[in-house]
Amino acid sequence: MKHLLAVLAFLALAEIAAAESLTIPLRQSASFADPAATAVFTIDPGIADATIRDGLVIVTARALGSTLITIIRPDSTETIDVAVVQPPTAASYGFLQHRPASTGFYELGYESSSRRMAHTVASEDPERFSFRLTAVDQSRDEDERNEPVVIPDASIVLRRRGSELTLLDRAVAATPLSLDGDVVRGIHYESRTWLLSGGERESFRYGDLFLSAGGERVALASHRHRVLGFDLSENLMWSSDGERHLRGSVFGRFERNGLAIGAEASYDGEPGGALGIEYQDALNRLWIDARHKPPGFGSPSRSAGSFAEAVWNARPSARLSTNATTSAYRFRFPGVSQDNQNASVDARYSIAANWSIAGGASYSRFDDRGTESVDTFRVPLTIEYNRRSAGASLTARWEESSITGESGPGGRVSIHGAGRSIYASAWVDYESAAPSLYLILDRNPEFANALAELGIFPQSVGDISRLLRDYPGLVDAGLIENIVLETSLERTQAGFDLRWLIPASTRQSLTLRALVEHARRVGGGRDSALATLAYSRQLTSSGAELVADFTVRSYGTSRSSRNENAVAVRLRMPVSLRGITSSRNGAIEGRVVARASDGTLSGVEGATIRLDGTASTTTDTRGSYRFSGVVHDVHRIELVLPKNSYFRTPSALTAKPGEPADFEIAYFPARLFAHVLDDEGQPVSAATVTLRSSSDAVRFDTASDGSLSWVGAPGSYVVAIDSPPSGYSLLAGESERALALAPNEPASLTLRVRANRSVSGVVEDVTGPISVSIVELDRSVTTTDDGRFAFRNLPSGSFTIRATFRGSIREAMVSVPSAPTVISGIELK
Amino acid sequence: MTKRALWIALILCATTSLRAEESALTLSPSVVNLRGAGGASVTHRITLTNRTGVDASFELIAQDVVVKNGTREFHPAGSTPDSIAASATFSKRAVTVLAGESRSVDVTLTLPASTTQRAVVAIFRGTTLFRINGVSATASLGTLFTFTLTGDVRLDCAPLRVEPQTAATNATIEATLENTGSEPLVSTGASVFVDASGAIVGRTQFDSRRFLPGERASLRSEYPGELQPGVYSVVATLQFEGRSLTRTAELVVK
Repeated sequence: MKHLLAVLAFLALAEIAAAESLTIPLRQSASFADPAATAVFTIDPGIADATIRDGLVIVTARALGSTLITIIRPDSTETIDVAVVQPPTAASYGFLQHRPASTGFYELGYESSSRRMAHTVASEDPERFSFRLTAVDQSRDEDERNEPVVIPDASIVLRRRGSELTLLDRAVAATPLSLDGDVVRGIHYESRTWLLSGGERESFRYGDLFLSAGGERVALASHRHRVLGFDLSENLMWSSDGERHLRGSVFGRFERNGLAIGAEASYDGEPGGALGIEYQDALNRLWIDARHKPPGFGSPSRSAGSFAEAVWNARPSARLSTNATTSAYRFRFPGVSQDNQNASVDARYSIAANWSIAGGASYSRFDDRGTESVDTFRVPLTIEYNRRSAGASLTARWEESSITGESGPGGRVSIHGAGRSIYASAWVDYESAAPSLYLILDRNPEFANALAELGIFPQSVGDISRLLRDYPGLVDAGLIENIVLETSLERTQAGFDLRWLIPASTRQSLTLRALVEHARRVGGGRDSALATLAYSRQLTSSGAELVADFTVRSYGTSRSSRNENAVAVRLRMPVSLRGITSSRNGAIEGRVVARASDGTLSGVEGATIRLDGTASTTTDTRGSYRFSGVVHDVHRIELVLPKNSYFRTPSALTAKPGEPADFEIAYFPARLFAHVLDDEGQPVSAATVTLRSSSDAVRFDTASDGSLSWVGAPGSYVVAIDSPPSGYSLLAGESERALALAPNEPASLTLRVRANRSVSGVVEDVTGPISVSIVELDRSVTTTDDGRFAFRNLPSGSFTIRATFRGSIREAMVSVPSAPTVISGIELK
Repeated sequence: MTKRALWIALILCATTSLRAEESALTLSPSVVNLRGAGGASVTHRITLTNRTGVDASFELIAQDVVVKNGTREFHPAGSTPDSIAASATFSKRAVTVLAGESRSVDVTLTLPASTTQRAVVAIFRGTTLFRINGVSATASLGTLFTFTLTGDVRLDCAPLRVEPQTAATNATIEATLENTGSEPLVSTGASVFVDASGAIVGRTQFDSRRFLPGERASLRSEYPGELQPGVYSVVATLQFEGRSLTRTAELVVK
């Protein structure tokens, strides 16, 4: 069993590695093995922190959100997503969160091995109303009689403004000292500060398993609040099973700077209490849990006990990690009374990349209060080679047991490998003195399966102690009858495990597990073998989901053998239960209007409206629409955006029949951004530009930067400068444009005009026409008879005006600005 | 004294505010990230709080945020094709927020079905003059809306630039990032110094940075600790929209 646990843990870790993501409830931790990792860090330590201890990457969730952890290895790095989610609200005493059902569904499950049939129908509305009805019909093989047992589980939850009322069944947790997940049939109320519950204990619930709880009448009240940083709750419980009990407890929890302390004090005719301390920093983690449970506290039985555990993890250096654990338990249950003590220390040292050695010592004592007692002492030494894809380990042990009074060697060899979709491992283990603890369980195989689903594989003293501490209801129900010690002089076990996740949409998986054992006892030996082949696939993927599991199991010993073939089928289909909660039908109607630039509203014809993403209709000429025969409930109404428009109201509304559901849109206008520039690219202000359509014309003056903008109806337009501003003249072909303006597609254009710049003057003393030139522009004009001349359409710049008269050169310098300019009176003497 | 009006657009800050002499204008929220489909609208309420001691008036406008050459530009509504700002509908065109009070305005934005734009800013454009350090100014505050329509989220990172510590400066790590996808993203990150034995000896954090499509920027962090002489691996991991990228570089400290 221990080895099977190790294999399953490996498979779980392999799945974590393959998924490359972790989801961790707030203030909890997750870990996975990565012996090659030398360091790890998180992007946001405020959300989740990560550290490496003993070859394990440990991620601790600190705040809601998501972040990344990066694992550093000598030859690579790897990044894994981490999501920190809100944990179930079970931390508040008095109530466990009911199993959620996100939508309405019906589920049928059948298992041939136990002939168990389960029906569930549920509907969930997180804000208002939900219900769940489950009926389990299972044949329990009691005293060779197949008696069908039908266990109903029904709940109706009404919610309003942070509080909820549950009728009939609800899982109720009492205190840390009882920890029973009882289902109480009655009435339950929960608000932010109060938890009230009253009814009869109907059943225990372990996973999908329901176990009768005896019908004890109970009433619970819990008040919770926060004082000076402490989360406090006061709890009062009353019960009657022929004898009346009144129990009270106070619980408080404080958390700051890596230190978390929770404590409970209780009284049930005898004081009880619990104390939990956890401290964690970058290099150390200390965890202490101590409890004293008085007889019968929070439980119908008279079970009692005292329990204490302490764990210390430390990492003195980057290569070395150490762990120390000690625990002590004293149980006083009906039929089960024992003392257990355990202590162990171990250390792991990374000697090179992928290589590590580990060693330590462990001691455990099991005392069945006088009838049986055994001390066990072990010293293991392990060397490991580990990579993500493959690894191996070799362990040598020295073992001593007080049962045999002898000591001897033991050892273990294991290998594992993991590919993209295949995981495999194999191991051989030898013990020369092998005392083992076994629980004598009720013969119902479902119970053993339920324990396995809960992650409970009791084998060692510590395993069994924790099981009895955390699930005393199992003893109360008579499902754990006793604990026995089995001693083998010699035991050899070998196991093989293969899992193949077939990469296909049908989620197929094939699992093969085999275990052989040879044990030599005082009275002789026994050989046994167990092999399991399981195949699972999803048969449908759309709408209803049908999943089938086929299992072939073979078990044999040297004296007998047994084969089992089992099939399990689960069918789940969505069911609309709206009609159950709402029976009246009505109509949803409304109007779609468009707002014009002047503020007037007009109906939009032909617009498409959708109801709940399924039905649709179009608006009439007034823009009106109507859905008839609509169930009286909240519906989502969407308007499909008409072309070239935008919403002035939300595009989707929620409404009930009879409530208005109107939409308002507006159409995108056309936009024009224009500039008027002169021949040298300078902006021209106050230029009058006309925008002319076939039916209308508007005029604008440009701003100081030569720009203008216009917003109006889409269409074809001619944009022109009809008359040039003062100082400018039109440029042929550049003062007018024809263009089409479309909605939400802004157009830009540039119109150009010429800035008028002229220079004029006179050449003195001339008596007839002569030539005058601008040297830089190589332009010349002829003067009048009296010597007057003029240059027009000049660019800006500095120019030399030159005339040659009677053998002499006459010149004048002139500077022409870019603005319209008239320079006159130039005299060439 | 000549009065000079200044536009102060504190638009993309984590907390949009204008502070003057222990008083402030604040706009909430400062950034709204939206996920949806083209052709749908969203209506969001933005609230401006005036703690300046002076009544302040604003007009409501929207501008498109466009990335060109790796940097953001703000364009008037309707001046770019498929403008989102052109669809901005405010419940009030102008508001006056009395001293010590808050006013809320609903803005409805429609994302055109075919637009490649992914951001728009809704602005309270101030029309009241404040005096800040002797200068008269109007104050404008904006809320940035970003839109995510597809799963095309990509971030490129150039090789890390790592500078060792000196007598006058700390060791620095610089990552130059560019959003090469079509959707906005927010990047955060951290980097560590790993010594020769594989142990982390130092850690720095990159500030959170929003990248619009096409936007390019450098994230830089300093390590204020003292690194002993030796060879270090610098490992930087950047997280964005549920994805990640890791870059490594070598650092020699003499």
